[in-house]
Amino acid sequence: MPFLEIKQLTKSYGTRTVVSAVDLTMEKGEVLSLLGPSGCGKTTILRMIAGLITPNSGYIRVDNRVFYQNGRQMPTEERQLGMVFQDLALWPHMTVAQNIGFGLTLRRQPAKVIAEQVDELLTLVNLPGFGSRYPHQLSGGQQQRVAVARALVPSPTILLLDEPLSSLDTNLRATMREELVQLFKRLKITAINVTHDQDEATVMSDRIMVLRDGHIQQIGIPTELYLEPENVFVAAFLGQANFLPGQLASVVNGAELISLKVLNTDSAERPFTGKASANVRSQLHDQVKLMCRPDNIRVHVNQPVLDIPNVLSGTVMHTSFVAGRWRTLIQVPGQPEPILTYPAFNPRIQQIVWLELPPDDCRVLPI
Amino acid sequence: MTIRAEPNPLPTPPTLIDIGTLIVRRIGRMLVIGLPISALILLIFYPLAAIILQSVFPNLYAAKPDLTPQLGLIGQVLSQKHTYIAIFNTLWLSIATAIITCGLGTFLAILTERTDLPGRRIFRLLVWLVFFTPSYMLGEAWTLILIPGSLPDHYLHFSKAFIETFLSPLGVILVLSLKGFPLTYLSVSAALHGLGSEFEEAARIAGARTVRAWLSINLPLLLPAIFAGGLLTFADSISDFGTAATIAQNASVPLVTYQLYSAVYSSPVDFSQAATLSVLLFVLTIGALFLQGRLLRRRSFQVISGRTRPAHRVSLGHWKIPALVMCLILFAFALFIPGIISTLTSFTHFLERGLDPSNLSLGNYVTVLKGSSDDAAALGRSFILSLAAASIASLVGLPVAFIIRRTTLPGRRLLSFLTVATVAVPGLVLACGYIFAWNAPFLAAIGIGTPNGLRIYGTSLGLLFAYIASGLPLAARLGIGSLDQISQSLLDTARVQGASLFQLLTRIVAPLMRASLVSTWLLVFSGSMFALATSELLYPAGQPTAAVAIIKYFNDLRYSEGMALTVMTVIAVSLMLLGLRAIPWLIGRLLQRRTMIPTTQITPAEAESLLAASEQTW
Repeated sequence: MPFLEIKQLTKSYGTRTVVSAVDLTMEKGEVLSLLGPSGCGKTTILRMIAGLITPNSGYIRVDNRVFYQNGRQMPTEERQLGMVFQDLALWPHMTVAQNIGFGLTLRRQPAKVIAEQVDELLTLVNLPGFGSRYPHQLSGGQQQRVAVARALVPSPTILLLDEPLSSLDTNLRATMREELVQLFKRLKITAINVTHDQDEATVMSDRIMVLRDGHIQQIGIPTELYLEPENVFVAAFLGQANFLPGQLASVVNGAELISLKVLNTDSAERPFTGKASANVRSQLHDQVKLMCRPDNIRVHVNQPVLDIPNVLSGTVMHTSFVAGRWRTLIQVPGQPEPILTYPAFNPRIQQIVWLELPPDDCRVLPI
Repeated sequence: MTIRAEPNPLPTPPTLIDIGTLIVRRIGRMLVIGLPISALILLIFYPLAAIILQSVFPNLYAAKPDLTPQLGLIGQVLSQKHTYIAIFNTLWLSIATAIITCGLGTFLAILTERTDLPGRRIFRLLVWLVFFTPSYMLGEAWTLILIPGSLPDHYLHFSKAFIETFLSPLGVILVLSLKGFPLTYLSVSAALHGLGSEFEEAARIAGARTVRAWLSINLPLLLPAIFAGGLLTFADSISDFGTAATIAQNASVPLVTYQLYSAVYSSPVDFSQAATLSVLLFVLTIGALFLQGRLLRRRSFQVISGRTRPAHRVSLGHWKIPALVMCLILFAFALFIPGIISTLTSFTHFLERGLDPSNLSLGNYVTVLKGSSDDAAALGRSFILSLAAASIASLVGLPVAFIIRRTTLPGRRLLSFLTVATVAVPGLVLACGYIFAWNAPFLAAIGIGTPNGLRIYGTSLGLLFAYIASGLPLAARLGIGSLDQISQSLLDTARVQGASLFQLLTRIVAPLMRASLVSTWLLVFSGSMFALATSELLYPAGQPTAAVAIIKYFNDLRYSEGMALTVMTVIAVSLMLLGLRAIPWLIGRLLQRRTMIPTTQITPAEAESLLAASEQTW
């Protein structure tokens, strides 16, 4: 039996469905990120697990306790959760120690036990001796750590993180997410992290669930999502990607590579090839998109020899030096969008170049 | 690592929730929510409903209840000469007052908020003092200044014409305006806070001079707030009893509130008239406030956006001194002269002998403070009732505010509407409702009002209930104002950590709102200490409160003793104000901690709610 189980979870406000029949299972000790643009329903799912929002239908179970089923729900305060909020929500009228010990005080633990646990947690989050301070006397990163420490009391079955790093500045965010993931792994914490930041999701999670308009787009480990996205949305949301609209030219059942005709080019004679994603309907003339990451595109100054597949020519439109590389946009005649590449040389504006899209690095995605 | 729970050794079948816990929680929830709502219904809505019922069914509260509606009675009451003269007086005096206060309040607000007027901080503080002064004290003081034989008359020898000029509707308007201008001031200064300098600067860049820019740009933008302030003063003036019972009496200007008081207090008792006048006052007050609310909502908040730069202050130049003098004159009339004359009067034996040393002593104070005196008893009674009323109203107001703003319970919108509608119920009207509601013969069936049963009308308990009822809607609205400033996640976190509704309220919400709770407490406390209208109608026989005793002295022409008691009441309230404001600060100092939430300031949201609630007359 999986540690967490969510079945057909649905939430709508009036006619607007914000979470639509979401299924999810998680194992104990796993860290999962819910990733998607704002309004995709990720926070709603988290708040339904917390009991702060009541679902319309579905089923939520964590460990051996059912949180929601058939309109009956367990009150938030009974669920034994830990939660870190976007604004951290440290109570300003309590010291750090009082904030962290709050959950234990509610359960009438002896003062000595509370003090010990608080000290232990403060050490764990690298803030020993900060117990008597007030939240406003701490820096952003320290407040963040206190919020996490508080969420770990008392022994939550699952830790819910609602964009916990979004209030920090970029550098601190990068440090904190590594610090957090180490902590989670050390304590074998089961956690769900809501974020719209792909880097944060990739660094922090064992698996990522990508959401759009309340629907699951794909669930998988970070490399899988990056290398084998199942649709255009996932491909575009995780990392940079170029898309060439096309039409299936030949279908070979069981073959890893399939060929397609890239629209508005002369590729009818020499069809392009790419790896088919699992959900491409293998019908001749189906509309598809060929996806290739900018890093995988080879840019040639001279026309390559004839037997190389997947070659397009285009004109350099714009180039800029970003983070040690030449970020270059190339307009290919007939293509709606310019192609983003990182050539190994500094191209000139208006220079004619040839782009090579290696078939093994191309994916054919449904529209 | 002890933090993590051990995995369950034996997998048990999934359960939703323990039934026993569920029942306990349900009961707890019902108590936390049910008690405040019952209090609102019993203490406010039932008495108010009783007035409306009485006006339509005049025999409902007779010994033999009768449900025959007699709508004609309302017409009869209104066609009586003394009634319609009182209504006419009340209306025109209140309108005149509203117009005057619009000018005074706006003038002062612009001077203190947007110019380099010297001493503007002190003036801002003085406005609050005027705001807290009960109208009967101001009315008494001005009567003491203007009547023949008064201290000023003793030295200045007022002509008969002068006295007649001021002991007239003019004097009533003077007192109402001096008492009312803080409302317009607060309304306009709140609007000025939201109004940046950018419009005015744009006008000046376009070539307009400062005065021109103000007249053509800022004044039109402020107009809704000015009108709203005027409506507040209007509502305040029509329901004001303190002025009606003091200077208006001396000037022989009958007003509706006094008419209402006489209807239930002097024989023959005329309940129909009382009910009709109550409904009239209620409708007029609510109507004015409804308009005020609409004006403020339509106030051009779209142009008044988040301003980060403090607005630019206009230099008054050589107008500085005249402006300062005008402000000083205003506060001299509203505060200093009445205060000084009242205090001096309290030291005299015989008013007509002036400030001769042989005529001055502490005798009046000795009488008041002597433990066995009636005055000490009255003051003590007021003090205890006010302590209880303030504490209960603050305690009950918090969950009411919480229910309205932070729950999804059915009926919370109705609750919110009812607290808004009752925040401005004039104390006199509410007290009138108590007379009908808790005297009803049919209540005897459930043991209320019987000699051996629970007696509410004519007892201290009834008076306490009325004080609580006056403070409760105010406490709820103020609570909402400060609850809105608490981020929802602070509350969600506590629930995730396992806090029940009760624990959430006591451990998180109340401490976070402590500054606002202290303000609310003080407001209800001072309101109850100064409460005249409710006390006059509801005090138990032979057990007057401080305000009742003061007015009795006044009516018996024993001005010196009355003033000594007045001064003592003011001192008692001031000590409480200072004490409660200073204690948290002192403790904070002792603990060497910077308190997160300053308790000595009124936040803009609090000021806004105070303003919305300020037409409350007790």
